[in-house]
Amino acid sequence: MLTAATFILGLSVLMTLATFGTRKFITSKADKIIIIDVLTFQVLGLCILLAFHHNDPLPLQFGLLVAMLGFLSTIVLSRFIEPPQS
Amino acid sequence: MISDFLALLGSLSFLIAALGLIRMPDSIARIHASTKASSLGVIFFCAAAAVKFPSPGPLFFSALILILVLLTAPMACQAIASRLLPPNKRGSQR
Repeated sequence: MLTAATFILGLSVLMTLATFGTRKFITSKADKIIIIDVLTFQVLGLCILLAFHHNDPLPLQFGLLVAMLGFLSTIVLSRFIEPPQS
Repeated sequence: MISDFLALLGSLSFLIAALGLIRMPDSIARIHASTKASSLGVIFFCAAAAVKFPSPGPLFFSALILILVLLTAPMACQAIASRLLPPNKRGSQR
């Protein structure tokens, strides 16, 4: 069951990365920032799955760092969106 | 066993988030679909970590991850979504 969880999470990370690389789905600068926000949460899930696979609670601390970095990067990158006028 | 099932549920909700990024037509619909589903996935994963490692240190870290994500994910969503509207149509802020 852990293998299935890892497979599904890896599939969702690959789908998000494919969305990042396709010009059909990305229409503005805000879409890239939304995709980066989702990717940091998925990497947090991968850190917790790494802790499950090794049977060792050390990678939970990596997950805490990834959560903080994702929040800060999303807040800083959202300043670069030009709001539409009128 | 229970922790593996919770991890499976969490990865399924992350899959829903990725599907919402592909399926939705607009930026605001995309941010709605992806942010809520990924917050639910983080809740499931932290519950799985708390079931898997029932000792004080990992419980502290999983609770800290959960509190941090639940406090900051709506703020990040708001910071993106408030820049998508023109300035005279925003709410009370600024």
